[in-house]
Amino acid sequence: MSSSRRSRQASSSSRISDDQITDLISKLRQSIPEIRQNRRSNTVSASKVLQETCNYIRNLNKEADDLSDRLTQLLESIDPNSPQAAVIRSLING
Amino acid sequence: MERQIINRKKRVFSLEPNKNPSAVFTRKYTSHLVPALKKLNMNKNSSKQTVKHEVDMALALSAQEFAWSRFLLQKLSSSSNPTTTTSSSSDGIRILERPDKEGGNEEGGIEERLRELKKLLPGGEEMNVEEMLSEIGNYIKCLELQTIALKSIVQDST
Repeated sequence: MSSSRRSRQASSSSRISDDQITDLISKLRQSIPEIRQNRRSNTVSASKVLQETCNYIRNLNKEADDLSDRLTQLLESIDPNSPQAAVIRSLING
Repeated sequence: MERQIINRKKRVFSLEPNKNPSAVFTRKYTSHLVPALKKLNMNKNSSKQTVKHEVDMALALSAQEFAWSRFLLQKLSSSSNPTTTTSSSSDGIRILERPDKEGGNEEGGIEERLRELKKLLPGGEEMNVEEMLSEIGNYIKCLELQTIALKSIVQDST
């Protein structure tokens, strides 16, 4: 099986084998919460799993962007005399 | 709210086999990000771009055992423009759903989704499928841990 996989890789890296798709889908099922919880996940198509994975990664990156923006606002809005500033200072110096 | 930290230790990172990898990542992430924010604050240089750059840098520095992390570091370091972010797509074009028969184009759909996935994974377009297989799960988990860490920092500051 592994020799077969290797020989297929040699021909073209853009063409993936069924075994590789199976491996990828199996791993993604463990990584994506929505798919993990879905009892019907065994019947979900490989294409659907990949799509869910892409959406999930985009959502995580968007959430990181939003949280980063909030950090920016907190840092920019610090009034040196405010209690909030004291909390932030203690956090940063802590 | 569902806790996203996975209790089962299905994977042990070889570099620190006796430690909880989630806790290790979170500690590294915080220890990189908080001093960086402190520095920005002192320099009065906390724009959206600089903060996001430090957030991305902390992510990359906290998971250096993975190839995607090294690709991300390379990208951040080589870019003199701090507006570079992990979430921005290089071409910005979203792949449109085609009206083709779903059943008849199953393999076509898979290839398309794989290309999309490779774009989302730092360095993914330079990896073969085997490499992407080993990297994608770790990348997703690190993004999840990043979200938890960032929420903790923001809530502590509010």
